[in-house]
Amino acid sequence: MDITTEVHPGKQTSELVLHGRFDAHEADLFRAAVEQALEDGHHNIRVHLANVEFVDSTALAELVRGMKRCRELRGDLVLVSPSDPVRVILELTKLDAAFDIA
Amino acid sequence: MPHDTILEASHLGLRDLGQWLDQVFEAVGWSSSASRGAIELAIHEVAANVVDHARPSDGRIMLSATTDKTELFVRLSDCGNEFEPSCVVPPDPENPQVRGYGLMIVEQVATSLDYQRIDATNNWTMAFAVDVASDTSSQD
Amino acid sequence: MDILTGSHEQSVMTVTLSGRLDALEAAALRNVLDQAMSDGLVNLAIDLSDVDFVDSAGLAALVKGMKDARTVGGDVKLVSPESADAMRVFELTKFDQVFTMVSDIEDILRNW
Repeated sequence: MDITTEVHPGKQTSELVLHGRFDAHEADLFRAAVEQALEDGHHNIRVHLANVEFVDSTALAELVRGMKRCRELRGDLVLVSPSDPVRVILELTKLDAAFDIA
Repeated sequence: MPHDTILEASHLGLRDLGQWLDQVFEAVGWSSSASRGAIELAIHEVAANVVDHARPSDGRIMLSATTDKTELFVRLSDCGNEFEPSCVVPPDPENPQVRGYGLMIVEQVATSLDYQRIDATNNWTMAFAVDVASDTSSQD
Repeated sequence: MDILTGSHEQSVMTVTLSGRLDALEAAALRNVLDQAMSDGLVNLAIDLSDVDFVDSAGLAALVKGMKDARTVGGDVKLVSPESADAMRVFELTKFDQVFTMVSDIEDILRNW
């Protein structure tokens, strides 16, 4: 039997694990983390939200903005394991249909 | 008996809202209500709009809450810029936008939302139906 | 709020086999797969289109590779053999439903 192998480099994925309160006060911090990932060439960003205890519409706006930035670059921003507060706001704003949620 | 508080009109100041709301709920015996999270979010969104748009020069947001059976009434006032309803663009679900979800959230959660400009102050009144029958037993 | 960041690459390694994948050849395949895993390549696409025979020993090597990969968040996906003699063992054991099996390597690479 012949065996030949080849490695195909794939897309770099950034994992952002958020912990705590994601409100307007934290918007700049999150935006900077997203911009850093994009600058590093990681157009796929997975945002882990299991440990986010509060999220408001400003934070949601940052997630939308990040998602649009990634999609412009043919990547995506995926919401991973959203906590209940995150799920609630996604449903209230009907953005649960706009995001890829893992 | 109304529960009053004053929040500092800044995004950091808004973080005291949760504690105040906890006190209000506890005083009435609503501690395990499932609707508490959504109610806090709604009040927070109105207060955040005051911080971002009304920008009261005295740096204060006045909050007052009363309850009646299973309803919560919250009045929020400040002495900042007048609210212009025509400036609010309702979000389009087909086209996720970056801003503008605050009032949409409040309208979904509150049973009523009113705004009045009285003597150079902004006054928001909100009513909420509180889910008191639930037992959110995620207690260990 | 704290934000912890990390990153990883989603490389896929293709392994193209031709000939017979039986008990004699299974060991060679196992070595290739083990080596890939220790090199951190946990996404493996194995192209069986040119394989004319697979027996249960060959299948076992593929299954072990798949389980090892899935344990660390990767996977082993297969391009189905064209030969019926090679495909038979997958159908009889129902492993054709456990593995992702496609007809074209590009399907795997594009959609991993």
